Formats: sequence, C-alpha cells, structure tokens
Amino acid sequence: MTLLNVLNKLKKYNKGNYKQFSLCFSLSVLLVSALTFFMLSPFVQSRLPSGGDSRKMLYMVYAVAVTGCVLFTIYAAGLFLRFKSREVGILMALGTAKGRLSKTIMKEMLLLIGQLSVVSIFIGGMMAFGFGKLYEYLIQSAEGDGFRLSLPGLAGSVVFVLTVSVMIMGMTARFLKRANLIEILTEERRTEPIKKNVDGKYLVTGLILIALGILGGLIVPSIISTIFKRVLGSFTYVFYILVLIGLYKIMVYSVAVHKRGKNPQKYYKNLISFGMLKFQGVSVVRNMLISTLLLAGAFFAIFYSATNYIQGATIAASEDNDMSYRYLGDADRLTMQDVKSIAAAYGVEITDYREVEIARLLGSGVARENYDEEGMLTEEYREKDYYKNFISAGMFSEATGMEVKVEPGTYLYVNRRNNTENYWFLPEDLDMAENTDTGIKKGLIFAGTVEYSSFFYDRGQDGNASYILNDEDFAELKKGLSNKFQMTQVLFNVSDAGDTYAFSKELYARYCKSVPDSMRVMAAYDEYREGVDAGYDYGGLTTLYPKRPEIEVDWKYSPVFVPLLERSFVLTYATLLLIFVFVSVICLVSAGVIGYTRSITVAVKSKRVLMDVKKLGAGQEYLNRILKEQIKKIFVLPTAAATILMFIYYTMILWQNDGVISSNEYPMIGFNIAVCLIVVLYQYTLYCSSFRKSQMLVFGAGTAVMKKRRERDGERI
Amino acid sequence: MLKVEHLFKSYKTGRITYEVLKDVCFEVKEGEFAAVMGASGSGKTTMLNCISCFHPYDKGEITLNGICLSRLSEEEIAKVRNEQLGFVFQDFMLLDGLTVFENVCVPKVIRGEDYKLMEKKAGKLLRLFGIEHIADKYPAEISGGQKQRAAVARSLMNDPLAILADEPTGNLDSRSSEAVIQAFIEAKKTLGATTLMVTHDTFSASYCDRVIMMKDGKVHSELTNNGNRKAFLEDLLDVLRKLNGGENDDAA
Repeated sequence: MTLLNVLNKLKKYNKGNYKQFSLCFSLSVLLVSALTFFMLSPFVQSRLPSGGDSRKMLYMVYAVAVTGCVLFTIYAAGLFLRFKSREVGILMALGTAKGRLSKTIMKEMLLLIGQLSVVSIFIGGMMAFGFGKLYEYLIQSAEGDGFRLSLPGLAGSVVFVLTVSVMIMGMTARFLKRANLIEILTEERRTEPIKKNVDGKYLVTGLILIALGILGGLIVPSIISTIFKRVLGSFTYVFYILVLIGLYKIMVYSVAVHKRGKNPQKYYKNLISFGMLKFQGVSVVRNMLISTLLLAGAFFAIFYSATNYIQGATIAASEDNDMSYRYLGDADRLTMQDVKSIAAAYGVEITDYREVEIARLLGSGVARENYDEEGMLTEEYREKDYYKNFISAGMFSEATGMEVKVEPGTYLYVNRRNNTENYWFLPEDLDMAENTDTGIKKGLIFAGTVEYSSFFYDRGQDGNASYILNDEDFAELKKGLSNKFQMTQVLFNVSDAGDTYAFSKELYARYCKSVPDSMRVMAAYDEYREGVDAGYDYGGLTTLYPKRPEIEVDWKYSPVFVPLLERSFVLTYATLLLIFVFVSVICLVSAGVIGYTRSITVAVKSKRVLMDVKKLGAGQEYLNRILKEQIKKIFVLPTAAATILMFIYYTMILWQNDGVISSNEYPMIGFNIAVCLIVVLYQYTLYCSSFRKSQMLVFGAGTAVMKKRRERDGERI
Repeated sequence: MLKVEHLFKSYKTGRITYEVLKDVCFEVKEGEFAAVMGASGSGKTTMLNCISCFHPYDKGEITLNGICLSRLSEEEIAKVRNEQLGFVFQDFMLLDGLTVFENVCVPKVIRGEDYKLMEKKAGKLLRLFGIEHIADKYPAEISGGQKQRAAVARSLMNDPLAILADEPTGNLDSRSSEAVIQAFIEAKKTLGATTLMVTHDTFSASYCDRVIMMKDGKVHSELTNNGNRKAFLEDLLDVLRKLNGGENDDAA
C-alpha cells in the first residue's frame, strides 16, 4: 500500500469534506464564468450603453460578485484544509516525510481543482449560452449577430480560475509548511474565541463609525456640492471603510457580549448558546461580515437595475407627444406625406401633426466645468457659450396648446416634467443670444420655467437647452438666419389602432437613413465649441443602427418615439437588468452557501458540547433551542444589517439627487421594500433548511440509533 | 436510594456478543459515598453509563428512589438526569465559553429556574468548595483540580438524589485529587449528598464509606470503611492484588 492509496482511502472516508469543497469551488467558478461569458459576449457588449453610469455600475457590481466568489472559495478551501489537518498531522506524526506528503497533497489538490475548473467553466459557458439565447429571443434581434460565446469570456473565466487556484495552492502550501505538529493535529478542533474585553463601547463605536461613514461618503459631499458648489472628489468613498469597520464592531459585539443586564432571566436562558458561539467567534464574525457584503451587493444590483427600469418607464410616460424628432433646416426631411404613408402601411393614423420652427442662436452661459486648486467649482461667464434652441412664444403656444406669455427682453426655459435642477447648469445663466449669420445680439432676462417634455433634449443643458422668446424678439433675432441654424421640430400623436410599434420601428429606420451627416453628431456636439475647444474630441460620425432602435446611441438628434420607448424600453434596459439580476443572484447564492456551510460547521463543532449538555439533563427541545440560537445568529444579523443599511443608503441616494423624494420615486421605494422582503424570506428559508440539516447532523444519527436500540431492547432505555 | 438489580448488558460486534455486565446487583444508600473499582474491562464504567441512562441495558432493573429508570420516556430521562442525578466526568465537561460561575449554574439554566435562587445557590456551592475567587474565570484559565471542583459544585446545583462520578480524579495530580475528594466529602457532610464514584484510584476510594469491587462484569466483593482510612486503604490494596491474580497492581 502506497501513501497515495492511503490518501485515496481517506478521501473515500472523508467524502463529505471533499463534496463540500468541490461544491463551493464549482459553484463559484460556474457563476463567475457564466457571468463573464455573458457580459463579454459581443452581442451583450454591443447592447450596453457606451460610457455612462450604467456601465460603470455594472462593472462595479460585477467586481463585487467576483470578490464575493473569491472570498467564498477561499473560505471553503480554509474549511477543507482544516478538516484535512488531522489526517495530515497523524501521517506526519507517524514519520511521513513532509516533502513527500506535501508533494502528494499538492498534486491531489491540483488535480481536484483542475477537474472541477474544466467542468465548471464548461457548464458556466453553457449556462451563459442558454441565458444569452433566451435574451436574444426576448429582444427579438432583427439583425444577424446572434448571441455567441467569445474568447475574452473564456479568457476571463480562466483568469478567475487561475487566480483562485493560485490562492488555494498558496494556502495549501502554507498549511503544509507549518512546523508545529500539535498545531496541525488540533487545527480541526481549534477554537477562535473573541478577546474577552469586548464591551458596550464596541457597539457604540460601531454605530458611530457607520453613521460617520454614511455622513462622510454620502451626506457631506452632497451638502457641500449643493451649498458650496464644491466637489470633494472620489476620496470620500474612503469613508465607506468606516461603515465596514463599524459593521465588524457591531458583529463582534453581538457575538462576544452577553450581559446579565436588566433581564437576568433572559440572560441565563440564552447563556449556553452564547457561550458556545463565543468560542467560534472570530470565524463566525468573519463569515457574517462576508455574508453582509454579499447581501449588500445583491441589494445594490437589484435596486440599481430597478431604479433604471422605473426611471425609463417614467420618462416614456411623461412625454407630451407620441412622436418627436428634429431636422436641421438644410436637411432633406421626411415630409408629413411620407410619414402618413408609412403609418398607413401599418394601419396607424397620424393625429395632431405639427412642425415647429426653431432658431439656433449662439447663447451666453456660465461654464462650471473646472475646479480651482482648493477644489472649488469655478464659474466662468461666456458671452458665447453654445448654439441653443429658441422658439417664439406664439409658436410654442400653438404647438403645445399651453398659453405662454413672454415679455420683450425676457425668456422662459423649457424643462422636462418633474425634472430637477442641478448646479452645473442653471436656466438663468443665459443673458444674451446672437444670430451668428447677421451678428445681431440681444440681451435677455430669465423670466421663469415652462414644463414640456418634447422640447427637452438629452440633459436639456448647454447646446441642448431650449428657450421661449417673445414673438418680436424671436423674429428680430431670426431674421437673416441661414438654414443650417434653423431647425424644425416635428411633433405628432398616433392612434391606438394599428401596429404603432412596427410603425415606430420603421419610422426610426427611415429617419436614421434620411438624416444628413451634419446631424450624425454626438449629444454634446456644438458647432461653436468645436471651433473654440480645439482639444475636445467630438468624435466622428455617430454610428446609427436603423433597425435596432433599442440600442442607446449617443446622438444629438435622437428621436423620441413613445411606442418604441414603451415597448422596447424593456429591451433597452434588458441587458442591464438581466446582468444586474444575474449578479444579484450570484451574490445571494454565495451568501446563502456561506450561511449554510457556516451553520454546518457550527453544528459539527457544537456537537460535543451539545452532547455534554444532554448528559447534564437537557431535553431535546432545549438542545434544539441552543442549536437554533446559534444558527439564527449567522443569518439574522447579516440579513438585518444588509437590508436596513442598503435600504436607507439607496433611499438617501434618491433623496440626495435633488434633495427630495419625488412622486416618481415612490414606486422605486415600494419596489425596494418588496425586494427587501423577498431577500429576508430567502434568508429565512435558508435558515430553516440549515437548521434542519444541522439538527440531523447533531442529533439525527444518534436519535436513530437510540430508537433502533429501544425497539430491539423491547422499549427499554 | 439507588438500586441495581440483576443488571445484564452486552455489546454485539457482527455475530459476536460480548457480555459486559452479568447479573450485577448492589444498592447505594442515602447519604452514602460509595465507589466502584475494578480492572479495565470489568464493566464499571458501562454500569455507571447504564445508571446514567446514557446506555440501554438488556435485562435487570435500576431504580432511583423507587422510580424505575427503564420505563421512562426520553424527555423523562432528561428530567431525571437534570433534577435527580448529578454528574462529574473525568474530563470535567465544563463549557469553554462560560465562566466557572455560569458553568455551575448550567443545571438550573436547563431547568429554567428563577435566576435569583440560582445565583444564590451557585454562590453558596462555590464558597463551600473554596472556588469563589475563580467564579469569573473561564475553564481555560484554571487548574484541573479547580475545574473538577467546579464540576462537583455543578453536580449539586439541583440537589440531586445521587451524584454519579466517572473517574473524577483520573486527570488530576495527587494534590488536586485530594481536593476533589474533599469536595465530595464536604458535599456529603454539609448537604447529605449520595455519591457513586467509579475510580481506578485506590487512594481516592479509601475516603469512601464503601467500595464495590467488580471483576469480569460481576460484583466480586464489597468492602466497608470502618472509619480508619489507612487500614481501609490497605484492605483495598489487598483485595485488588487478589483480584489481579497478585501479578500486578494497576489500580494502586
């Protein structure tokens, strides 16, 4: 019999430990590779909005999920090595050369990890493929680039596996290098008590640190930027570390401190379970913290995607016209007749067709783009800022049915319904408009804001801002304006009859094809600024996807078709939504598995003590209660902490955006509450099944043997 | 008080049956401090485990104050263990996460008793066994003798009908052993405790009122202490020598 034979036999005997490690490792690799394959597929990449917050948030949440999986795998490897320590110790004590043993075990680990990795990446790839095909079917992609797995996806998965494998092999090597044989032998039974001088101060400082973290990371920067117009920079994220430390302190307190306090009877009731948990304190707290982070990641992913979704839905619902698009004066446009004939082909009736005349005049403004040496936002007045959109009051009233009056020399700013101001751009910044063809200038005074969504382009600022002028002022400024600085806004509604979605899709395609190159520019493009800001890259011609309106394009003249928004907005956000949901599922699964395996470890470690307590006369009900109390702790605090903190944090983010929780944000809060309840329910279900499994592990077999004996012994003891 | 009548117990390994206890009979009277001695494999620990209801038995009867233990349900057995029996184990079985004071409280904690009475009783027992100064220490911070005295105090928490002690001095040096035996004697004198102790240690057994000698699963003989401990010790050693065929004396 060789050493390998002995180890193989031990492997068979300890298959439970191998199974647990294999499950955790495979799950982690499978989830990460599925996510990586999915995210890095060209099909999904082309549907992600380029730049912007969503992509940033997506990668951030992806990083959280991967970190969660790494931590989770390392934790599983640690547990596995701990279980293996006894057999390794005995073999070493009996004289097996450390080098030989190390070589054999390292080989065994490498083989195990290798096999698991290949299988998991394959299954992960298949999962991503299935998921991708489902996604492809859901968005009914009209063009031929179906979902496929990519090499970068495979490379990403392999990099993850290699990283985790190197870490595990490093842990194994370090474990085998230890010289103290007794330490190796007793590793499995090693207790990790929390130092005993933990007191109420831990709780208080924990709470203070959390409050400081949120204050420093979210509230203070928000207040400073609103009041002092000063951006503190990304260093404020460092404050979130305080939240983490605070959480750790609270968890340590919850595990280590059990005081007689004002209710001694309750104190004694939970005495044994607290005492038992305290002696596994360090690893329990570590696990609780990881679970909390993973749950927080899951919450953030769900909350963020839901916010995007609901905001998108709100935008579609707040449009004042079903269809809205623009042409520059010198462009060959689709005529009303063209539009009507396309509509007729789809059985759609066009109503309220209007064409609104807009003048693009060089307006003044205040640039708030730079910071001084002290981080203060600088304000630079520019007499010539951007070409801005101007409409006469009469034309606006006629087109919108909203009676507006503008005094000579004044203007109104057109804002989107329910849109809030930001300090980068203020409606009153404009005080001058100039016809650059004739050189006629006119001083203007801000007289208020009008809400009408169809004249709100992009973020409604700089070159995308729209203003209403007095009819005479408008006529004066427009006189002699060349075609290229004139613009026609087309607005109309569609009847409910017919296939409005297909019509909109077709119109989108025709519109994209009809626009001249002068209109294929990015949203931030401005003719004047292009001339003066030589260093700014406004890019080349914007790539349009005529047959894929669901793709978000950075395009100044992007049309707004409500039927498309309503029906394809789900598709527009589908990629983001699916990936965020995927990430949240990964976080939830990881948190669940960590909670479950920790429960099993606690149960195994508690078995001896529970049997001792049984010998002292504790009944089954009492023993169940002790076990339950311990397992409850593993689930309750992380769930409560992640749920409460993330709910408050996200609600504060909604509040922080504009200083109020607006009515269109109520559904988000309602949705977030529902998500919290679902996650709590998920954790509760896991807790119940962990408890049942632990109960079986600790009492199950013993009770069964006892029952059998009693039957055999004719109902004796 | 504690009666063991015609007790039989066997273990089966495959087809082979090992008879461990063969018709064991004895009685421990109220307030008595009795010991069971015998060579390894004589069945003394098995017998104690049967009395403690840790193991089922084949035949015979064990009665505690007239209650027949074999007819009790699982929950009733737990109640008897908690309220009518006190246990002292060789490896102390103190809970690592609890202080000495809290460990002593455990039987009453399990019983769910009022904390005021519990704390009063625990304090009294700690003082009785001279370990009140380590009340706030954890098991890892005290000596073996102190641990075992804490275990004796714990066994008396619910005023049991009998204390069952399994090799209570087995893991202790002679000085600590004596302190633990003194704790049993103190319990007997002050509280009228009844104790049945399984031991290998002749010196510890010499403090008992009576010693039951076991050999090959049967009660071999009984020796009664007439008040002269040294003479009783000599008697015990004589019997043990004869019991072991005069060739070795592992019980000494």
